[in-house]
Parts: sequence; C-alpha cells; structure tokens
Amino acid sequence: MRPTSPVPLSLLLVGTLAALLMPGQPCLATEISALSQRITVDEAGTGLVEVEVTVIAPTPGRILVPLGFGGAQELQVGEQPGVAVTLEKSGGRPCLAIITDRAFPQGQTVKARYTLPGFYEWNGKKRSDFGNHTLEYRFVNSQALPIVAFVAEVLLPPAYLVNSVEDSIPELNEKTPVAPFRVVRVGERSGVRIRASKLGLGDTCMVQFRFKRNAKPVGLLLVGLAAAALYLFAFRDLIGKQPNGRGVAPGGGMAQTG
Amino acid sequence: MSDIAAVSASARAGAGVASPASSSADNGELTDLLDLSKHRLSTVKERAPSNSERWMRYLGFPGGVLLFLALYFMPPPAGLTAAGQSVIACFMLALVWWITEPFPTYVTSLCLMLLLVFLDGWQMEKVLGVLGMDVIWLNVMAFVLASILLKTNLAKRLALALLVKFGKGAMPTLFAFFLLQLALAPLIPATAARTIMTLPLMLVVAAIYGASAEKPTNFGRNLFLQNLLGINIFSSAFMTGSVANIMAIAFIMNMGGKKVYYSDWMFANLPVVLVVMLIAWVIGPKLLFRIKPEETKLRIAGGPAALADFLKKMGPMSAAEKRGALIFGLVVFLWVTDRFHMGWFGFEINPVMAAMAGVILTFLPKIGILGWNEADIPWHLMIFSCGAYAGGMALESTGAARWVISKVFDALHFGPGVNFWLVYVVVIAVMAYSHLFFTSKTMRTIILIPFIIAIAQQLGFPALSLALPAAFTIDWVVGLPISAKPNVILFTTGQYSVLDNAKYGVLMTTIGVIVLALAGFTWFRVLGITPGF
Repeated sequence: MRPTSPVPLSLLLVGTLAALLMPGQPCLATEISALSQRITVDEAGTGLVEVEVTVIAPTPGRILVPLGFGGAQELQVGEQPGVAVTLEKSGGRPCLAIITDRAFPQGQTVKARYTLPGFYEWNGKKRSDFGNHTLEYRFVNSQALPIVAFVAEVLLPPAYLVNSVEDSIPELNEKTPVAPFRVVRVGERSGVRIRASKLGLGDTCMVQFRFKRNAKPVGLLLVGLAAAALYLFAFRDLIGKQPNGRGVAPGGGMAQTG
Repeated sequence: MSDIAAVSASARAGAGVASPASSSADNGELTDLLDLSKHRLSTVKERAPSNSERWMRYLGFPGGVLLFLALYFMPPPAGLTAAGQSVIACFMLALVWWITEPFPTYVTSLCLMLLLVFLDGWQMEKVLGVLGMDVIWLNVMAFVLASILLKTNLAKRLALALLVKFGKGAMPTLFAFFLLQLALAPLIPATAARTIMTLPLMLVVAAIYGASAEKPTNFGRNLFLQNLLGINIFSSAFMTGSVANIMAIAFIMNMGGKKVYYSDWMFANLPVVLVVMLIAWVIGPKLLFRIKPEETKLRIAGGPAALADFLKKMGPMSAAEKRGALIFGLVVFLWVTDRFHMGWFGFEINPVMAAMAGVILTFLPKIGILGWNEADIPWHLMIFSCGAYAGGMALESTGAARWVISKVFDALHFGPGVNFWLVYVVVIAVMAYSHLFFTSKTMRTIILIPFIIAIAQQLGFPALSLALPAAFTIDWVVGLPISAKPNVILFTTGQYSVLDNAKYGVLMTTIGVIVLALAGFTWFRVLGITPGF
C-alpha cells in the first residue's frame, strides 16, 4: 500500500474551506440592514403583516429573511426591479426569500405584506384581570444573516387600548436609558412598537403587553360627582363660623397627621 | 430589675439619667420643655387649622375628585398606556388631598393604594409589596435609633451643647444646623442616615424654642424645613453624595464622552449649594415663615445661661448614655465607612442593614437600652409613605413619568438655532421641578439625563454644558414629604404641613434654578462647563 502523501490532504482542506465559502452561502458583506414588521390585528384575531426589509447585497443571490411566524398567507410583494420575493422554509423555519439578479451594495428596500390567520386567539370575552387580554409578540432571528436594526409594531383593533407593557426583550431596566418599546397610536389603533439592534442567529426580540377595551366605567363618574357634592354639603361647617376657633376634621376629631 | 427596666423607669421620669433639673425650681420649665416623652412621634397629633386651611380642606376634596375625573375620563393620549393614565389621575387626586388635607395624609395614602388597584393602574401584589421596601424598613430602624438618643438623654446633651455654643437666638441656631449638615454631608452619603442622626437634636431644639406638633411655630417650620433642604441639597455638592449622582456621571461619560472628576463636581456645585442654603437661611425665617419676635428667644427663664447651667448639672454621661452612644456610634461608623466594607468584610453593609444591626443591639437584654414599647415608631407615617411610594413607583413603572417628561420637552419645540441659554434654563427647571413626580432619584436620573444629553447632541451643544448642571439638581428633592426619605422622616414630627413643605420646597427649588442659571452665565463659564457668549 502506498503511503499517503501530505499534499493531497492539504489540498483537501483548502478545497473544503473553499467549498464552505462558495456562493450558495450568504456573502460575508451581505446583511439585513433594517427589518420592520407592522402587524395589524383585526377583531377576528387575524394579523395583517406589512414587512419592509432593506438588504445590502454586494453580489446577486438569495437572501433569507426570517418571518417570525408560521402560516403566512396571501403574500403580496411590491414591484421591485431586479428582485423576486417568495415565502419559503429554511431549516423548517418560515422565511421570506429575496432573490436578487443584480448587486445592491448600497442597499435595496423590499416591501411585502401577508396575512396571518389566528395570529391572536381571543378565547372569548374576558372578565377577570379587569378585562385584560395578554399578547406576546416574539421574533427570533432564525437565519444566519444578522439584522442590524429591527423594529416591530403590533396594532390592536380600534376598540382596544394597551393597558400595560409587562415584559420585553431587550428589557427595560435601570441600565436602559432609552425604553426599547413605545406605546403608539396609528390612526384609530393603539399598539406597541419595539426596537432591537444587531440581532444575530438565535437572538430574540419580544414584547408582552396587556390590553383591554377602551371603556371607562360611567358609574365612577357619577359616584365621583355625587361624592364631591355630598362632601360640600356635609362638611359645610368647615367654612362656617367656628365657635371654639377649632376646625372639625371630616369623620370627627381633629385631623392633622404627624 | 433589668437594665432595660431601669432605663425605662428613668425615661418615664423624663430622662435616662437622674434629671438635674428636678431639684432646681429655676429650670423646672426647661425640664418640662425637654420632656420628650410628651412628644411621641407615634401619636397622631392634633392641631387647630387656620381659616385658609379649613377652606383648603373644604375645597380640596371636590377639587381633587374633579381633577381625577377629568384626567381619568379624558381621551387616552398617544404614547401613554391606559394604566399610566389611571395612575396619573390617581396620583394627582392624592397630591391634591395630601396638600389640602380633607383627610389625614395616611387615609389619602390608603385611598391611593386602593384606587391604583381598583382602576387597574398597578397590580395589588406590587402595591402591597411597598411595605417591604428598604425605605420603609429604614424608616422603622431610624425611629428606633432616634429613640435611643431621646431616651438616654444623649440628644438633650448634644442639642444643649449645640445651643450653648451657637444658639444665642433663632437665626444663629438655624445657622448652627446649616453648618452641622454641611459637615456631615461629605462624611455620610446616605441622606436618611444623616436625618436619623440629627432628628433628635432638632426635636430637642424645637422643644426649647417652644415648637411642637400640637403648637407648630414658624421657628419649628424653619428648623425642620431648612434641615430637610440642607440634608438633601448638600448631597448635590459632592459627586458621591448619592448613587444617582454617580449614575449621571456615567451617562455623561458614556453618552456625552466627557469625564467628570470629583473635584470638578465639587468646585462647580458646592458654591451654588452654599449660596442657595444661605439664601434659604435668610428667606425662610424672614419672608416665608416669618419668625415672630417671641419665637426668636429661648422659651426658658434665664436664656442661654440657663441652658449652660442645665447642661452642667446634667453631669457626666450615664451608663445608658454611654451604651447608647456606643450603639449609635457603631451604626454611624458603618455608614461612614461604607466604601471600605468590601475590603474589610468582602461585602457591603448597606445603610438599612447597618441600622438593623444597631437596632438588634438596642433591644438585646443586658446590652440593650430600649424595650419595644419605648421605641417610638410612627406607623401612620409608614402607611403614608407606602401610599406615596406606591403612587410614585406606579408612575415610573407604567411609563407615565417618562411620558410626562417627554411631553414637556416635546411641547417646547426646541429646534436648530435655538438659543443655548434658553435651553439651559428650561432643562435646569424641568430637571429640578420633575422631582415632584418622582419618588426615586435613580429613576429620575435614568430617564432625564440621557434625554438631556440627546437634546444637547441634537441641538449641537456640548453634552456636558446641559447634562452636568442638570445633574447638580438630582438631589434637590425638597418639594413634598414624599419626594425623598429624609422628607418622609422629618414630616413625622408634625412640625409642618404638606402645604408648608410644598411652599418651602417649591420656593427653594425656584431659587436653586435661578442660582444655577446665574452660575451657568458666570461660574460655570469660568470652569468651562457652559460655553462662552
């Protein structure tokens, strides 16, 4: 048996490395410089997702942009010369495939929209927890390309208001000078916008919030007004002549706390 | 009979040592004045309201309700959560009631806590959890420690020594406290700790000048409010005066790219603070709460000489006093040396834990000084504090405080080409007055300082020129009894009302803003903080 020469081995290594770096894999300089998602939820819980993605593609090729959701339907793509967009799955994860037939070193913005039936499960009318529903939006970058700037907006049906933001990634803490999320209003709709930057493979952006119908108890208004009127009547002696020069505190006794 | 019982008996007699005055008819009046067992803080005080106070109470209730209804039922503003809107409405209702006092302040606090939960502003667990916060624990520990000084006569001894040395009248006495707070500020960064140390002295001095919770006088108002001001704003003279100061410096360095040294901070702001304190020392007694001629003199026959005589007759320190001094000294030692704890023990003992260690010693048999019943803990104040902190924290955690601040800046419409000095004055004013809506200096710093740095960068001004002067006002938390820990503690004494505090605090904040504005034109320019014309 002839002994193995070291030359073919090194050639093999170089070849393997070259194969790894060949087209078919994203180019090193290729990146998703911005990705924004606006999800408008209707009363049935269906989400209409509007995506705007800006990619930098020094060479023509195929760029996979993670969707964050399964079950996307009715994809509509704006006309973009030199760009084709399809819904695909990569490693079992749904994504938007942007195929460019030319280079876009300065970046190219692609707009698409699709629907997500059952984006939010209402589970009927809630009475507990002050009628609040909880919605969690979570986006995971399931693809290799980093997303430099990410922003997502979840807009509620017009009759609903964001009551409180419970949790987020990136989180709001004592080291966060700028809140990663904002409560927004777009037309009649209330919602939450969350931002994140430099999302690498597996990184998550998440916001969890409670929302409820925009309805205030009218009874409270009546009770408040009645209490104010009653007080003015019942405690009119406060401003009357004080026989002993001492004011009487509501509820009897003198009222002054330490 | 145990030691504790012995001390207790002597305390009931008005002193931890045999009272020298009891044998002297001359200073029987002084003995009576200094019988601090009559002025227990845990007892809710009663006093007759003035005509204007009665009107405020009468109109305060409906006024608060109407303001609440207007804020709660108005269309939800953009950028604010529904919970945030509820919290703002509830907090404003409470603020009006705290100031006008249609109810005792602790009842208002309970109303606020109830409304926060019922209107879905803040969860019940969080509202109730406020009782376990470190500030509440510190208050409890503080009052036990203060009780040591009061029960053992140490407070009397120290206060008399202070008065004999400086207290030839109301103004010199107030000035002595000015110096005392100035001396303590660089040594003990924790403002609550300084309050605990000096509160017993204030109580004794107030008593000697005839000021009590039952009969508040303008001398008492000035004494307590000036100390409140001093304790808080002397912290702003030193970079290490509070954690929030250090956080502001970190923001300025990280976001503004400028390093600020301890000496930079002190040289810039110590003169400003001294000027403000001097103005306060004059304006308080002469203008805002005018001290009547009869209040300027000691309420004892014989005047200062009688005090010196009384002090002399107190004789040497008793065993109880020595033990009290030892325990208190240990706590103070831990407070003063906090920066070395890590090296000594491998961990840092924070002010609450240091106070707790002292309190444990205080109650220990044989070693201790107090029985539980002698610890004068004003629980009604704890309830007031809980409500106040719950409201403040709800404002912060729902994003309402952040939203209010951003709306203020949005409304100003600063654009390119705007005059620096206009921006400077507005930024200082917003930063200074914003303490009325925050209970945490840290949160206020986190929200406002980056905001101010961003404004400076957007308008093309050096970040330092706006952010550092703004940071100088972080510790100016004097507007309300809920604005800071010392305020809560001093408010317990019942020597002034919420309205008194608000009047004094807002006036002094305004003076502070004016002095800082003038310093910006002059002193800060010399130091290179603000740009030249």
